[in-house]
Amino acid sequence: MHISEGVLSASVLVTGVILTAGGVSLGLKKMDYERIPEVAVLTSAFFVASLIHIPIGPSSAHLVLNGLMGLLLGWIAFPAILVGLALQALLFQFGGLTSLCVNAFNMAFPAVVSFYLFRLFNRRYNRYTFIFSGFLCGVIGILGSALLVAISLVTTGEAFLTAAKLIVIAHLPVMIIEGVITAAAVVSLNKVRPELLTRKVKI
Amino acid sequence: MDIMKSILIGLVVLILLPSATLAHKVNLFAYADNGMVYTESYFSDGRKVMNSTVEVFDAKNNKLLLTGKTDKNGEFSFKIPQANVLRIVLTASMGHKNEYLLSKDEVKDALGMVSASEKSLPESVEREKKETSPKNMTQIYDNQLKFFIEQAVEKKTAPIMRKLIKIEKQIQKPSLQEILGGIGYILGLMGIGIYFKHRFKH
Repeated sequence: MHISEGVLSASVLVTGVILTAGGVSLGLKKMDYERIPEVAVLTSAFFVASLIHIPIGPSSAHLVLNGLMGLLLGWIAFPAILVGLALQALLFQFGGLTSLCVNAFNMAFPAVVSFYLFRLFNRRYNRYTFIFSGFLCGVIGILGSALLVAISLVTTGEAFLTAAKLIVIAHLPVMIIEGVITAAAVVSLNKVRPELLTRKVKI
Repeated sequence: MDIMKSILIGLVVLILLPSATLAHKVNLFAYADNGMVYTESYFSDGRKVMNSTVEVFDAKNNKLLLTGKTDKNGEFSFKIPQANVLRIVLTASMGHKNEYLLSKDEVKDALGMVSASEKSLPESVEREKKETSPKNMTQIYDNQLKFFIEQAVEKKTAPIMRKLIKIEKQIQKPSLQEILGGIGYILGLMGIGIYFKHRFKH
């Protein structure tokens, strides 16, 4: 899911920088003092998640955990994911440095969508919608990222539909696995620290 | 803080799982030998990169010299187009790209070997048997000797070459030190963040 150096055109890279800058500034505003350790732990989880590889036939994919991050952090997922990606790019050369902001937006935006989606689903609490919404957020995190990656690649000549199909199909197993992981995380957090899940939406 | 402790413990466990140390990057290796350049491409989980475009550029003026596709073993080889620094670029699907620079020395070495072993033994012996003066007899023996020496050296260096490629491949994998370093940076940022937020609060 990480787009390498030298693949994207300048206009896409600049758009990525602008969009990510917007997301990061919003995220930093919402990050208060007490949440910093939580953000650090989740950033570490995201950083390591890409090392967990899921074999699928001819290609390979890895865990992203952006659904879970978005669910818990909301807009703060932007700076968290940016930091995680920057470290991955610098230390493991996963993804390029010029494409850092595009990759950050591709992974952080679906995270924010998961945040709102989760709260939308849980207005009326019901055990099954709760678990399902956790699963859904995991799926949307990957699906959204896959679609955004396909859109990013359109300008490089890979026709959107074929690229989108390829990426989405390649990540279907990841979507399921992430959905399960997110649902499990949500259920256990609900037992131990429900306040992490029920923060009010600050606009 | 206990939920965070358990998440951290979970992370450590995952890091230590031997299978969970590979992921998403495409790797490209190339070496020049005997007039040809051999390239091998694969994802960092070991999967071969099949049917993907390889482009060879002259590194100085960025001129495209040739293109090709990797076969089902992730390999692509080509004859050395010119004696310069070669930049080999691999483009795999889903936005993965990587490149490998072949130094001028390596390319020149590979070309240099061509002139000596290009003539196969039977050919050179045939040609020289026609000239039977004593001066040329020593030449025949010289060339034969050269040929056999080169064969022997190539036989000995092939496993060394394979070992070097293996070592290069291992360097590409994210090491435990890098993972711990990354987490260290994150914790450091956390500390800085807490420090500044604390200062501005009071």
